[in-house]
Amino acid sequence: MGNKLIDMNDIKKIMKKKVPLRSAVLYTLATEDSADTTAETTNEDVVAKLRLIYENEKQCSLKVINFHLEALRTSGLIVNTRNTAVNNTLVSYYAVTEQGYRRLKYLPKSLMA
Amino acid sequence: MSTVLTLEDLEALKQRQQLSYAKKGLLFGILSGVFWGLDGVLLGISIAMVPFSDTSLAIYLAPLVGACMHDGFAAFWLFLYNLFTGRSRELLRTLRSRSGIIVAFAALLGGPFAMSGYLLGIQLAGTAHTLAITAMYPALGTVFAMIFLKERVSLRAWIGIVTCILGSFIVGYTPPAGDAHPHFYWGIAFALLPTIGWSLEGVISTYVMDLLDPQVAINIRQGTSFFVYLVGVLPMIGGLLLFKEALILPSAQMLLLTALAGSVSYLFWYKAMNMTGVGRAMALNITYALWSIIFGYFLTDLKLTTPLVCGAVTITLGALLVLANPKELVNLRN
Repeated sequence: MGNKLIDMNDIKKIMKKKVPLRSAVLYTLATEDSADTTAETTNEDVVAKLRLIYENEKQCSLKVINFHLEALRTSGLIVNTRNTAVNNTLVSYYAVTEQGYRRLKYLPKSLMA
Repeated sequence: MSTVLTLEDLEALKQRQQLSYAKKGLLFGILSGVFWGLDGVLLGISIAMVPFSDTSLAIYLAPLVGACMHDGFAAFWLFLYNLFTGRSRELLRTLRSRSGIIVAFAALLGGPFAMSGYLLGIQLAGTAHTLAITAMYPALGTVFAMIFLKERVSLRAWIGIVTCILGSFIVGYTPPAGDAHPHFYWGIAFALLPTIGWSLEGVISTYVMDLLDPQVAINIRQGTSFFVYLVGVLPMIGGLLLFKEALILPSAQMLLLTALAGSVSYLFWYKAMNMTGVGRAMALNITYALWSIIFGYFLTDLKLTTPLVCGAVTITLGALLVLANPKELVNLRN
């Protein structure tokens, strides 16, 4: 599957039409190379990126995003690759699975340009 | 002195978080059953009130108008909930998405199709028996989930699901005493419609909730169902007049309260399916057959019979088997 390079300019440009938040979480985790097992993102990075798009929406909080991440993980669309501690706070790393990349086709075509 | 977290500490912490998530899903499943049991009893009271109790009405009219109002009020309560939790804009976004459209389709199955059969069943066979018969839907839903969602269901969970269904048969087999429900077996037949509708709705909705917030998905579901009832079903059956009449009578207030219980139940059901999988969420949801007996005993003149009590105990045992090992829920699919 062709995956696009994700950077902040792309995300801001493409997500003018905001998608449902859980879909946006999955999209934000997607990277150029789906076979690259080192392509992981932390939950806090996901929140930071999505806040630039969803701005002051109440649902765009670490607690809600963690809930969406856990839901995506239990459904097999992402995997928790490793965990670490920053200032004694648990920080989790996630990567999209093959099944997750297949489900990305349900996002608007403009996101996959 | 600060404590440094080791790798083992981190892994243990993460596992605890994941287990906590799974257990919360199980709790939501049970709560969905509690509130649906209450909803069923209150619905029975609502459609026994004027104008629904008018015996000159066609037998299907009151339940269908009641279903329309129930889903409409439930959509209202859920919208308020989403508004206060910062998800109101998410509603429109979701409606514009492909997944949102699929949720709307699932709403047709679980709404007009299933709810109509459900309310006709309550009307014709009584609350406790209808709820017990519709409790078969987890088995069908679990089979669909294993096939289409590749969900893992352990042997113990299957035994629990089958036990719950057995309990529902025990409750549903004996007709009630007296002439309170002269069309009892028609009611049982109508009660099979929600069995099919809810099982399909659950599987389809769970699939799309991989990419959607369940709290938003259920709001769309209720709103779609209400809309289809109002513009499609009611005009077809000549129910708009009864709808307008019921809106200005105390029956509307009763249905508004009933729909609050219903919306809470649906919210928990959708969240449970998303968090613990279709099979377990449905199995825990069907404990509504047990809760309806409890609420019915305290809120109405329901008489406890041996089949009702035996069926309720059997359902409880089945639910306990389903609940047994939350660790199985950390990863739901193959």
